[in-house]
Amino acid sequence: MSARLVVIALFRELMTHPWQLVLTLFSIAAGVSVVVGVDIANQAALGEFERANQTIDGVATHRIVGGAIGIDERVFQQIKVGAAIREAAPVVTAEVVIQGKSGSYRLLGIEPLSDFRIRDLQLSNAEGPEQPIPAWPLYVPQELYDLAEKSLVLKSGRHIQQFNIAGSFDSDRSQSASLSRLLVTDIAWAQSFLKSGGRLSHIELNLPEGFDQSSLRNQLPDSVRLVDIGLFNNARSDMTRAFRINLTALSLLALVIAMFLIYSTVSFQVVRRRHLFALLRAAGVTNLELVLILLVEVTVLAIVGTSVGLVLGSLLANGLSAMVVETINALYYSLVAPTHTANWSSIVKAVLLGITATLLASALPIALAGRTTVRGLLLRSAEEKSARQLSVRALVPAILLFVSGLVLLIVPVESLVIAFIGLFMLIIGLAALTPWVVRRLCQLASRFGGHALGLIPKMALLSVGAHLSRTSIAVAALSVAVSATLGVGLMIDSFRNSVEDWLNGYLRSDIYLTSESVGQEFLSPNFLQQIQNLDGVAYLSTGRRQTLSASNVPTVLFTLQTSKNGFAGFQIKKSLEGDLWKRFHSQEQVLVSEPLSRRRDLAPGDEITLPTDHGEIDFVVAAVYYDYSSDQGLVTMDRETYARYFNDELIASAAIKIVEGAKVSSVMETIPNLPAAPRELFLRSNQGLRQASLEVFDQTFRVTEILRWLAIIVAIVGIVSALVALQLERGREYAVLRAVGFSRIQLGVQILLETGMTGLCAGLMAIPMGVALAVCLIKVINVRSFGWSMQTVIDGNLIVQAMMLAIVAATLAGLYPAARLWRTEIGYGLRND
Amino acid sequence: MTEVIGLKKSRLRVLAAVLIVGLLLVLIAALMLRHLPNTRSVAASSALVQFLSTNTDHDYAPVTPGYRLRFPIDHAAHPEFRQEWWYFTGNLTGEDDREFGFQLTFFRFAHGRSEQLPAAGWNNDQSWMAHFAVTDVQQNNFFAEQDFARGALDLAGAVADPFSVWVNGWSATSMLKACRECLNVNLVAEADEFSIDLELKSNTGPVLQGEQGFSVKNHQSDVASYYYSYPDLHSTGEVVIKGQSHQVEGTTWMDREWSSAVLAKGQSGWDWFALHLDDGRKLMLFQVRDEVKRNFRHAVLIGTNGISKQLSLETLEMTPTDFWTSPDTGNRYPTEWSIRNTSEDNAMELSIKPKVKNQELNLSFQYYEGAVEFEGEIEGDRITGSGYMELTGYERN
Amino acid sequence: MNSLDQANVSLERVCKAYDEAGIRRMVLNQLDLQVVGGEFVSIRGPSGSGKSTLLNILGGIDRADSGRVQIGDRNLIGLGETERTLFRRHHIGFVFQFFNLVPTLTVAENLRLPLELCKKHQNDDEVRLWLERFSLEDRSGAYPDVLSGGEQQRVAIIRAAIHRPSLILADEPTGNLDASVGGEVLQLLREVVDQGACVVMATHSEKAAHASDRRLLLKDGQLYPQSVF
Repeated sequence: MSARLVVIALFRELMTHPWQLVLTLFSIAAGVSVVVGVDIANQAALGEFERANQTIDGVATHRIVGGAIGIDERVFQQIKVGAAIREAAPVVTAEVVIQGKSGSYRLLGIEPLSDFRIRDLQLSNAEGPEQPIPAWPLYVPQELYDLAEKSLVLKSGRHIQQFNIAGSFDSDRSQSASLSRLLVTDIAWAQSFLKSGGRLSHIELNLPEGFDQSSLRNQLPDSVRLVDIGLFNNARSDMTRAFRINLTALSLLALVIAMFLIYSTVSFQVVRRRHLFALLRAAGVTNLELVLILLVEVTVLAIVGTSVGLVLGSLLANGLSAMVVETINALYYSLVAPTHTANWSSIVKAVLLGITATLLASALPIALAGRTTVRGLLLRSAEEKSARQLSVRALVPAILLFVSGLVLLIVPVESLVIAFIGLFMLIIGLAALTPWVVRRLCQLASRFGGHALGLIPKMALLSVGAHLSRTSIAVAALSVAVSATLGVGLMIDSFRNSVEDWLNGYLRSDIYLTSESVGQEFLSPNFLQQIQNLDGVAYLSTGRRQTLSASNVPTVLFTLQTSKNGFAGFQIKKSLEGDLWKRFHSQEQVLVSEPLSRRRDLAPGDEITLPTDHGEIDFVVAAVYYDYSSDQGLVTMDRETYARYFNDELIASAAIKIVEGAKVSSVMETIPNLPAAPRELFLRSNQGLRQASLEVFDQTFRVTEILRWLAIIVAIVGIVSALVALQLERGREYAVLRAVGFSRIQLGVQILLETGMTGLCAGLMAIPMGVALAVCLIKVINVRSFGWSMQTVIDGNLIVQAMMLAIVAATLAGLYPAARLWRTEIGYGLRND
Repeated sequence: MTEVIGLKKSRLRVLAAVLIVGLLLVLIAALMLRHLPNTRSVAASSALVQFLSTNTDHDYAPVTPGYRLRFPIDHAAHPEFRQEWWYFTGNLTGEDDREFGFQLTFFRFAHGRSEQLPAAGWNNDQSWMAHFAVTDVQQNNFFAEQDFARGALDLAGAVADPFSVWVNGWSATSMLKACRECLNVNLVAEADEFSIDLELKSNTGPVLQGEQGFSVKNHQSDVASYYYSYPDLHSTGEVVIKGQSHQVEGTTWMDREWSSAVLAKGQSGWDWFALHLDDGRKLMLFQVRDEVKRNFRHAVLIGTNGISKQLSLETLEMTPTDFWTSPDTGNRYPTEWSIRNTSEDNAMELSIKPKVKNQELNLSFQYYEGAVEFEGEIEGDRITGSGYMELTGYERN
Repeated sequence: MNSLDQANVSLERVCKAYDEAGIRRMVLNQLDLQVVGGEFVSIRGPSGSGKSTLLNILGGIDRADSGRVQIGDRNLIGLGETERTLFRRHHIGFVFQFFNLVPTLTVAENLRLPLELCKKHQNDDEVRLWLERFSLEDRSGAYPDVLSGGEQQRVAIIRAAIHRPSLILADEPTGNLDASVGGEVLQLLREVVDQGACVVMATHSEKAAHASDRRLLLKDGQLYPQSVF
């Protein structure tokens, strides 16, 4: 193809509108960057989880775990001497905080003479290999070591101890963030610090393939279990899957919005160059040649835009991965600090996604360019007509897409991915309806309101309809973005409402206390008795939450001692017939929370197997109750039942009901001063706990909020530039109007009205879309992701906010053209076509 | 001309954008390269070596002359001394005359403990190490493994009656209460590729080395250990190598030694031989090498009745005749020796060589401990036999 | 008039109808036209009489509903869109009322465009020769928007003729120019004709028509010699 000059002609044309070019690049870059950012953050969190496990678990394949307070350390002797298993290491571990440092750390108490069989920690002594190790020795990550502090004060619950920095570990892997939250000490010091003499957290084993596990199990006491670490970790990483899929979906939503923008800008470029295309066609350039050149052009744009997107994305990933990790920490388990390493798979994925999305979004405009006829050379209206046809022609596929999306959402499968595909189809379907709806709206408005409105608003209305070919896609993008913010906002709002309602019913006591900030710390029976004896205390409920490894899947068991009245705080979803309190309190039956019932498919009357100190026991599920405190779900058991199956007397938290008339504050003041009170005690009033719970809730959704705003920014930039471009193109038209006698103010008003009207249309479209989205998120996505059901609450404020957002964004777009018009002379506008 | 100027300006702008994007891409690539994982070092358990080397300002019991060894009590551990070992080396023959050698050693080290914690549980001032090696002469193969344990929770230990010493799953255990001087033990050790299960039965009582068990290691006699041996333990049982079991029979030498110091200043290591003469007599000799002074030597010939007799050191010559350099560690060991005693009494001339060249233990310590064979003359009689040779202090750095 | 065989352009019974608001309007009705090489034909007619349609059909831009459209030895009826474009690339030159130069190419580049599309890549000399002949050599590097209307139309004429097409179609070439410049342009068209191409020009202007060899009138979808009226 001898198209060198054709390419030059098209390229120079492109360069004469650099800001439109920049917009196209921005659209691609914005979409790609959000996807890359989220992907890297997700990968980082997941990879970090795996790396941390790898370092911390070492080559361990199995783990011997026990009940609530770990296992008797004599089991280790049985393993090493009795069963002659060489690759075994005892571990005493706890989550700790360092005084004066943020975040939590994992303290690993190891026995170096066996630990090297499992882990390669490479401890190195600060004072050199021949020097004595100090008392309370602590090996710290390189970063901490470099701070050159001599000692650190560690806290785990009530335990507080100054450790002396004895050295660092892993000097040649100091970059590895997976170790950056790890602290190592000798097992003897760890036990002493945690007051867990004689107990181990667990024993790690590296069992060869084909090892006779059953004979080992037979040698072990009933109270301990042999679990497969791989399965255990898989279960843990599965826990975050729903969360990560949600993030990915939100990032893809940003990409979809970006695709709308790409479509819009590429269409714009095609429409703008229609005349040029016709000229080239007249000169004998074939349509195929034209399409090929445009495809190459778009591909180059895609590559450049994607590259920029990668850069932006990796920057974004820095911030996001910290937040993702923070949320995962808050929601699931303590992880370590994030790394921001872009991996090749994220990059390849993003490049493919960026180029594919750009080409897909550009396909239609380019195909239209490929139908350029020389005849249409001088006719502008042909284009508007085709847009109108398009809006009508898109009607059927849009409705089809919408309906099939709806069907996918309603299909009763548990797949989250299918739900998201359905959701996307729904959104795109609705978005594709936008041009048609906007046209209809304008027609209706001008028909019925025409007389009342006066000339200028009527002109503005007609103009919006008339310029749809240029603006419809940007309007659709804005609608999608605004509906996304509305939908996600409504979802979070509904969620928050449900949690609040639940808290109101659930928190029936007046004071809540726990000695447990991190790690295992317990309230002494003595202390509880002293509280019970206090004036003004009516009743004391006690609780204890712990993770059991039931059939390799961690299950959280909540042990509760409460009154019948306190028990009434449970909000029951489904239950067996009869007196539930009796079933729970006297018949050894348990309650399971809603997420657990979904995850394990448990209904009232089913049995759940729990590993007790007397072996695995099946418990009857008496009821399923609402609970928003854990998306993994809980089993709640009466304390007396627990006492029968577990050799564990420990209590971690208590709730106090005050007698009527007594003062909550005075009781709260007395408690810490009781003789048996632990050194560190967390006391919260009902109100305070509620507040704190909601704070955790809000923090959980911070990432979601950020992504939501990213989507909005992308859309706002899109609508603003699309409208600005359109308005600037119409300089001649405005000049004519000025010449006819329109004042600058009248024209400015018309421009602002027109862009504002466009925003209004987008906002109006966004309301049903947003509500639909919210309902999908609440009824389908959240239930499938987390197992929580909640009531849908439609908050009018949010809808108004969304409308305002659309209108303001669009009106803003009118400011620049209006201001420019203010400054230009009529004659210039007329000449400068 | 506005359009044309605009064109050029925008071209510049685009060029700048392209440049910036390119630079950023390079930056990203560089950042990613920086994060490539380091190759993981396989250096084994440096923490462990440090742990073992760690000593506090702790006073250990001194080794003094005049102590009367007691049996079976002294089979047990002496935790007040700094180190101690139970050393079994044996030369075995399979049913098809296939020759094997084995070493199973239990080491104990005291290192003090923190006074800030109660002396219980893991806060224990003893660490144990065991080395286990098997030589397969026919296959020219040598296997070695080690294990460690803290002296806590009965993970390792040594008790007297019935005698037992163990480190995790490896052990030497008597089933019966010991008679005063005899020793019957069952050695059990299993590593990934090789294992032994041997019954040992003493033909003689213990041989007290040095002055009634007080064995000096230098000329000043200020470094010494308590030292006794069972030179003739008749051994039967099973050696398993790579899943293949061999019924074996042979002779094992057991050394028991405890002290609070090993080498005097300037001493760099020792060369030790325990030889089973085919006439039933045993010969043990060692030299502690000294970088400055004369090497310190000791030699004893033990009759079949268990009566030992020290050889005159003035006339004893120990000369390396060949060296072997380890491909694994680069250490150069004198693996072939000529032993001469020129005095008329017990005149001898022996040449010793290893049954398999590579019998280096490349574990937390590097040393050579291997089955040897020898031939020569003692007092005019031709003599051959097998035994064990230990060469220490040849680490390159 | 020469025989049909020698005709460069030959239209026989060409029909073209448009649907407008549901009503079918015959624009060209059994139209015949023959033009030979070196002939300059002008077609006049009121607005909407079908002049542009006729030019579009001649240029392969539009397809006739029926009849025969032969340019050189090719019958355009039955050619697909791409084939017609490729045919246009080699055999047709266009001159428009609004010049329609490619605004992002310089004068010289605009002239090289048709040559390059016809795979004539060594074309600097040819372009320079044409520019000299039309007194535009100092404009060669300029972009069209800085040229005067007359200059633009002169460039457009060179662009239409430079790759030596057999037929040049001119649609109101003087319509946007004042009289003196218009005359100049017509003279240039004549020069092109003298080089062997045939020119078909649609125009409103009687004066322009007078510059042609043969004046025709398009009326009721048929062509009539001007002399009839």
